[in-house]
Amino acid sequence: MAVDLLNARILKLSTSLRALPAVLRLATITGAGVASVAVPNAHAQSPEVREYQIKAAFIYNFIKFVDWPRDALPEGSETINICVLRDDPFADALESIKGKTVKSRRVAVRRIEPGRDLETCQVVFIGSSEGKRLPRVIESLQGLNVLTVGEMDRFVELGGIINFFVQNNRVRFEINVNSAERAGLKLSSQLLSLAKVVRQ
Amino acid sequence: MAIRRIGSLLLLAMLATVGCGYTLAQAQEPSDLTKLTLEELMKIDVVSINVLATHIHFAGQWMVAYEYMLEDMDGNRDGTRRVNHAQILQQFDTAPTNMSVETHMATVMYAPTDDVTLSAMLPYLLKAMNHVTRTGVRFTEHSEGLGDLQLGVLGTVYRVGRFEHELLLNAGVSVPTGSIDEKDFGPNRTLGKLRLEYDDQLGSGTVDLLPGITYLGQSANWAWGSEMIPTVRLGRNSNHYRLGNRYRLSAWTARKWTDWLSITSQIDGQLWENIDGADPRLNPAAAPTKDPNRQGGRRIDLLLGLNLYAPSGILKGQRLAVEAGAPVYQSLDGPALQMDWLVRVGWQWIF
Repeated sequence: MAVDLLNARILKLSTSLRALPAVLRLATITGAGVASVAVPNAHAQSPEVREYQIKAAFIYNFIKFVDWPRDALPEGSETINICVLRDDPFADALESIKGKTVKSRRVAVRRIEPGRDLETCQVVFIGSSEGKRLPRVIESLQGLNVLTVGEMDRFVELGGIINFFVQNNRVRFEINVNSAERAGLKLSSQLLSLAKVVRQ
Repeated sequence: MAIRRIGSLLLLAMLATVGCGYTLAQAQEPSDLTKLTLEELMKIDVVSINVLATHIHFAGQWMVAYEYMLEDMDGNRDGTRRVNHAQILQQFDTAPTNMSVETHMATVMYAPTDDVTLSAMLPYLLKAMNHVTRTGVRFTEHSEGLGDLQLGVLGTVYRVGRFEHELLLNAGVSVPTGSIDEKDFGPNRTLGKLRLEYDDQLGSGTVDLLPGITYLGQSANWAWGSEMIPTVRLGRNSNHYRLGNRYRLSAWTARKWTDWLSITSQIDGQLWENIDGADPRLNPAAAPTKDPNRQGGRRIDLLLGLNLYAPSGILKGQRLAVEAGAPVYQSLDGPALQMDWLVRVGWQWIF
């Protein structure tokens, strides 16, 4: 009964808006009727997945602007290893840059445990899940030529090199140039010009 | 005629936006973001504002909006039961037959931070109510002018992820800028213009509080939400009455088809109380519309709509929405005019 009533009212409404059928016909003719055949976006992402994919592309670009000592990245080596601590979900986003070539080397993505195999990494991403353990993680990287990248408050103050943050819906990054020097890494002036530079 | 002209213009604007949206959808960022430079990456929005996320305002953003709403009331109801004019005229001198309310709503919003949005809304109303008397005389009463100004603060108090789930609190106040002294001719023009009934007035005449709570959820292709915003009226106005409090609970869902097109559905429940006090210039025995104890009611509306949004290009941030609906349930402390259908067409621009 309620459905019948609703149908009757919708019918009345459509009668009242006499111009509508003509407009809809016009819409179809002009191609605006594409709405009726549009399909859902198959590549839709959640905001967090999208944020990680943007950050993965940033890391890919960072590698172009960082010079490692020869010992850490020997000539003729085939891969640049980006390591992710534990099971941080960022590793999934890094799959999008896995296998790509940068500095004439293939990008490899590895999941590692803190303190293990760090010397094989050129880049270590430390996710926000490691926040409480950050001082210990940073300490375990001392003496290694590793570019540390994080995404948490006080990351660069505690010795990390590059930290992501989001400002006005866009990804920004800050760089602790002293930490980079301590790790024996040379950062290009172009990279520094885009970053919020911290000296500590 | 004026309504049709406005409707036609808005629909043409909608077609233009659809056309532009379709064009813009072809020119999105590359799926492989590594092809972008650092400078280009720094220009990408983290939360890709699409047709589902038009409620999101980042720090420093402004939103201006215009909405046109047409409500049509036709016939009377007492409780849930339909009543005709003859039945009403057994008790009253005059019976309302139908009414239209047009609202032109201008809105400005500003977000000083990502979590706080300030808003100001000012309506311009055009009302027309038709009546019939016991002697068979038919007449129309008109009123037109500014309604009550609404000022509000909207704050996010809880958020999961980047806008997947959000809980917001609203704190608003309605300032009595709308007239409560509207007059027009009745069936006997020799009496001059007389005070119009409660429904034909443009404002409440009181300062009203608009506290509220809103939940918003969003996934890749769906958005949903629920909102409760009561209107709590304070004191009595200069005509010695206070409109009844209004309690509104609504829930909606939107399905994204492309970044620029979504389809929406909404269920909207309202309960409004009777008037406290009475305007001494209105005789409650003359017409049910003049009786303060016949103004309350409950109603549930179902609405369907279409949203168009320009995610990039010269129209970036602009949205056009069309929504139409009708009640599926209403019970009035009548006899009182029943809602028949309503249409909303809105445009907004976030910059």
